[in-house]
Amino acid sequence: MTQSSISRSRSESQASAEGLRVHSLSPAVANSFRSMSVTVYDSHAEMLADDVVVEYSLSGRTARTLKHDADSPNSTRNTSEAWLKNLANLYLKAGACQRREIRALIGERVESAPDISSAISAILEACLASKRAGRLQDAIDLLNASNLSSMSIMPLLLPEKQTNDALSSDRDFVLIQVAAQCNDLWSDALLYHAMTGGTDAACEGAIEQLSHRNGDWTREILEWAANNRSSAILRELARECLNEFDDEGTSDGA
Amino acid sequence: MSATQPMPSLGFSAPALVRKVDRPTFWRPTKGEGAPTIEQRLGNVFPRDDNGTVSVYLVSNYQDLQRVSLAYNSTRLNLTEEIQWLPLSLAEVQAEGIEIKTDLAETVCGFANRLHRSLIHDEEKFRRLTQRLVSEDRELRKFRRGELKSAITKGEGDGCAVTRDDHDGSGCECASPAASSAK
Repeated sequence: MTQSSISRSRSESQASAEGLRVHSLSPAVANSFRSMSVTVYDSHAEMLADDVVVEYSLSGRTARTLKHDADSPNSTRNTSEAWLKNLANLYLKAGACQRREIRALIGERVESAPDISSAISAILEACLASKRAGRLQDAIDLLNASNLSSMSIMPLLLPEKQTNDALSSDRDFVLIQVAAQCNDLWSDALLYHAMTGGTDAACEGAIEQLSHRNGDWTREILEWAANNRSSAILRELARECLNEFDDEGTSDGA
Repeated sequence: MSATQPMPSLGFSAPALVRKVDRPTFWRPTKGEGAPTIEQRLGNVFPRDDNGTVSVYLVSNYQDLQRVSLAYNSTRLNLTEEIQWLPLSLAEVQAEGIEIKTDLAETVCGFANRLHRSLIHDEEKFRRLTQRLVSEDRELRKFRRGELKSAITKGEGDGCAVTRDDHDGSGCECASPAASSAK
């Protein structure tokens, strides 16, 4: 972690989210905001809250909701708080994307990405290009220096795009290799991506990585794969991995 | 600096510095086939951050380690993901001439933030430190899911902001965790 003090300024912009996904975030907005006013929708496009002001730090480590109208239509306290929490994290990611390390790595591709999922894809493409140039470690080092919070990434990678033709085997390899070598924050995000949206090969690699971990999130994502992956082999693999966890340890026996 | 005392929960003497290691394979095994090289350890375990420092926490007892672990996980999706800590003694860090700077972290736990220290990065000094740790077979300390669950319960009792869904991100100001569950 870095400990530089964070200066905050305010410039408000409008953006909207459907569920946990941002549909659009223009480069101009992403470049300038420290706090923004947003509208939150649920997955059925029902508005949960309007005029929510979210403030975040460029370091990507702090965020808070400054103002929230609890009387917004269709807003229930628990639901809206959960959404808002995720939303705050989402904007952390948007802010962190502007860090110069990430820009150096992925250049214009992230800045022009229409949403954060596209930004993640751009990052993977950049890693792939780095690998082809024999500089994958450089890319990993840059990711690790970014201090990006995985909390802000994972809500955006919803398990709805499980396709086997979206990623080439080369991309699978890079995805898992990067996940194995980068810091926990990135690794969480990339493994989530592999488990829920990756090819069977990527998912298998991710399960192997997760078998060396333990924690509620790890179990949750393995449970998801055990119940939802289309491949029976992968479902079984995820189930076996879960069965190997005991109450305390992990399967590495450390 | 106060005298050291055994800290069985860390497998080390306290006070100690702990450095978060993202993956045990970056450190283990210390010897034999598959052991990472000194340069790999240096790059993965002690990378220089944007400020030219290496982030560590100074822990004096189990409660400190609990709270720091919780604070660390507060930036992840949940609080119970296991954490690998590499313990370092103050003496061995100072023996290599590594400067220790006191500065605040920026987690939502004010108590953990005050335990933060920055080691001024100097590649050669850290290379020597790494060689020293490897030669001593320094083990990682895994802070397990069950321990994190206990830490959450304790944090809730202490009012730690990390454990509250409604925190505003500005950080709690607990003076210290209650010393009721020392190990």
